[in-house]
Amino acid sequence: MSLIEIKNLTKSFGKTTPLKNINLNIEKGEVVTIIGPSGTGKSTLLRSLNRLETPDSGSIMYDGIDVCDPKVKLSDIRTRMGMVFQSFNLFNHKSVIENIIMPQMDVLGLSREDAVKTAKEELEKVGLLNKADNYPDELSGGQKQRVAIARALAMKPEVMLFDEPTSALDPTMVSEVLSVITNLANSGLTMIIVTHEMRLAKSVSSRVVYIDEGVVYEEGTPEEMFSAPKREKTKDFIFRIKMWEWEGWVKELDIFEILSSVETFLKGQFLLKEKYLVCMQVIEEFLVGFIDIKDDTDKLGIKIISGEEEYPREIIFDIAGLKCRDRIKNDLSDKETDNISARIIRSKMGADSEIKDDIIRIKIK
Amino acid sequence: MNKMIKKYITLVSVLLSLLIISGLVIKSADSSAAESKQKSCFKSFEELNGKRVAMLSGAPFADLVSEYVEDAKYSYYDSFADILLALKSGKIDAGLNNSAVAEFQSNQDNDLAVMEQPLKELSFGIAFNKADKEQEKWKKALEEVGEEKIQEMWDIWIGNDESAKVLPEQDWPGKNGTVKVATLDNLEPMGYRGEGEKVVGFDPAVILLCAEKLDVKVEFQGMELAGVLPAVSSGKADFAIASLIITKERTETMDMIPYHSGNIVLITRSEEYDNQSGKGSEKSFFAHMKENFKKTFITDKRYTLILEGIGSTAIISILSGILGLLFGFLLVYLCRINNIIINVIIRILEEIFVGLPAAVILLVLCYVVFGKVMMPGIVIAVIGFTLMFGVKAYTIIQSALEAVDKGQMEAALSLGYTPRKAFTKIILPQAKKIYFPILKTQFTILVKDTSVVGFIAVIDITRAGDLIRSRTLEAFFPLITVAVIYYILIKLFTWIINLFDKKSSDKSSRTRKEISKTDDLNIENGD
Ligand SMILES: Nc1ncnc2c1ncn2[C@@H]1O[C@H](COP(=O)(O)OP(=O)(O)OP(=O)(O)O)[C@@H](O)[C@H]1O
Ligand SMILES: [Mg+2]
Repeated sequence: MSLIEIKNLTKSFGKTTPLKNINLNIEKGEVVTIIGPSGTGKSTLLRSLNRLETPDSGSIMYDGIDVCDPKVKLSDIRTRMGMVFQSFNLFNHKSVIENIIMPQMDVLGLSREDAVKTAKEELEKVGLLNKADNYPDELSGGQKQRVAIARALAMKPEVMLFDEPTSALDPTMVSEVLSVITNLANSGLTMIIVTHEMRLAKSVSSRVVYIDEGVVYEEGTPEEMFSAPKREKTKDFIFRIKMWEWEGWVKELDIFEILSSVETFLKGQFLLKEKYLVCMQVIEEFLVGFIDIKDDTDKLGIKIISGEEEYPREIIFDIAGLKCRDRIKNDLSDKETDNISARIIRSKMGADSEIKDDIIRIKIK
Repeated sequence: MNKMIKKYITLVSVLLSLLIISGLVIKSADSSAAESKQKSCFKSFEELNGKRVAMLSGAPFADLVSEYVEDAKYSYYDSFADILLALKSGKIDAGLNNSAVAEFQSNQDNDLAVMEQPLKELSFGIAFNKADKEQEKWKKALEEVGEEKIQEMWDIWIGNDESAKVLPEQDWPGKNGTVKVATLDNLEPMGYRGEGEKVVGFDPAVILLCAEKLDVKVEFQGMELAGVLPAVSSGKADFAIASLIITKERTETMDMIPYHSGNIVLITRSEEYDNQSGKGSEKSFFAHMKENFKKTFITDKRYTLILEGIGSTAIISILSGILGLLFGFLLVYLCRINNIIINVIIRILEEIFVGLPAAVILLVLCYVVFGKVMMPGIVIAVIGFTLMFGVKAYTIIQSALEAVDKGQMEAALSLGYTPRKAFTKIILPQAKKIYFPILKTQFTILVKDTSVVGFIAVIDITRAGDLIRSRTLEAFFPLITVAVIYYILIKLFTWIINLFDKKSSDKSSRTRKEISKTDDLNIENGD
């Protein structure tokens, strides 16, 4: 018997039916990541597990207990499953350590000394013991989320549910939370993680579940799912999350906006820092060196496709809409060019790069 | 430190404004006992053309005046004392009342005079509900007492000999029960508050004469004229003797037994007053202050009236505040049941008690809802303000609860809290930060709102001030005293509330504590 058995689960809100027929088993000790397009009911599924959402039909068995049974003692089941939210949800009127002490006393009935002891241990694990007496609004997003994790862990849950734990965070704070979750995954705790963060899916999970069309559309190991997805929508999704795209009028192009958007994307792809800086440099040089942003009629397309091996596979410039497209092609093909930008770009171009028709495909060395 | 200075400044400014106002009032108010009869500044009704004439709102006789005066402007006041003050300050030119009251006041005050020609000769009547069988008994008793005896009373009460103005003890056995009689308490000498707070005057004196004949005991209910007829028709009083002139309009709704004749006259400023106007006072400032002070507080032990007023205001405010808060929380909890019927009821309560003025609610409670139930006015006031404050508190708490992020509840539930426990331990404390300061302000508004309880014959601070003014015809001390008492009461209440709240505000003031050492008891052990 699996720890969690979900059978024929359905849930609708008015006219939308995010969950049509979900079947999923989760074994003890597994780390499962749930991915899928926005609005497909990933959160709804997770919240059904501890009955924050009540399913319309189907069953969820947790350790032999029917979670959907109206007579079941919900607080017991919820205590056995920790949950971490996208928006942290620390109790704002209590200090960090009180946030962790209070549920232990109120729910588990522990003495204050025991609760304080556990709270300190858990805070230590997430590296925030020095913030014990601060209030939530004095913490950064990443710190808040680490406290939220510590608070859930202090209840000694058997399963941890994460609902997009890093989505509300500044890019700079994602990794501190990721490393806490990674450590946790390695400790053998059963975890179910809904995430858009592919680093997490790739690095910690034993199984990736792709939800779409209201069902478990495809599942497999991270390798299977990311390198060789089998079904149409999964392929689309995996391809799409590995691609960044910009297309539009040159006169509306904002270099800084583009670069920061590129950076966010590349970071999310779990790329090595040197690699993604090279990629950004190529884009910057291209925009600065070749594009006249005052031109009213020029159009440009930029695409980045992320590779498997921790570096961007290729950068594609579509220059068909530029008046100076021939000059760009010449400069980039010419070894002796006196255009500085062209020289820099050429120095980063791998051997298998190609310039064909009005498409420039640059493979980073 | 800063706070001390602020308090000091407030105190000084209060005292300063006291002095300034006193200067103004003293200058305009100069009244001393009369020796000879002074003449009205108007010789004939014609001179009143285009002038301002005031009357009591319960005694509308504008028709009568317009028979003589072509285009007077009319205004309506709740107490005759206010009419006299308005007269002396020049806001109006003439006030209408019966001859007894008018003569009495002009006897007391050189600045006032009664116009010689009466508007109409009429009768005062005792008012009974239509077809009330009791009235026959009283009619007979009046005949038995006889006109002569009543005239004797009349002379005593409008006269200047204060020592004769005492009501007889009710020392008869009272075998035939007790009657409740509505009477005025702000119209000297007809019905007013004498020493202490006892209602005395010509009207009560007449009733006591009859009561002795009938061997019944009498309980007088002193009130403003506007409340008299509603009190009888709602059954709060058995009948009323309130210097009510018998008019056609009144006999349509009430049965009225005449007990004395009385003219309707106009009282105006005296000739002397108009001649000397602008000259100001000859008496020294301090002599004036001393005299006014004595009149306001010492004479007839009027301070007891103020003490009673403070008592009523405090009792109504505190009880309604506490009960209202409990009621508000009860509504919040009831609302959480999410029963459609309960929700509709709460919605209706909200519409009624938040939407209507306090005075209207009190009057409806007193004369409609509890019309047939004998209940002291103060109880009705407490009920009314409890409902009003409770419903207001409910709306405030409810919106504070809505302002708490939904995620807080979800987090608490996911940790294993029951919904109830999550509500009391997580949601409510956070909402408290929002609703508590608002409730505090709302409570001070409640204290101020209680000033309308005079409408249902409760003597609170405002009404005590009014009653004293109706005797002394001096505005300064009663008004300032009332203002200062409200100010102090509200400060005191706020201070007490803050004291009670100290514990929780300590919590939120974020004092850093070494957690391992704390024995903070704010968190109780669950189950
Ligand atoms: N309480 C609710 N009331 C009405 N509709 C809801 C509610 N919660 C979710 N939905 C709808 O159900 C669908 C699934 O929502 P859900 O949050 O589970 O999606 P998701 O996969 O978690 O999306 P995302 O990746 O954006 O978080 C959405 O269309 C959403 O609008
Ligand atoms: Mg979601």
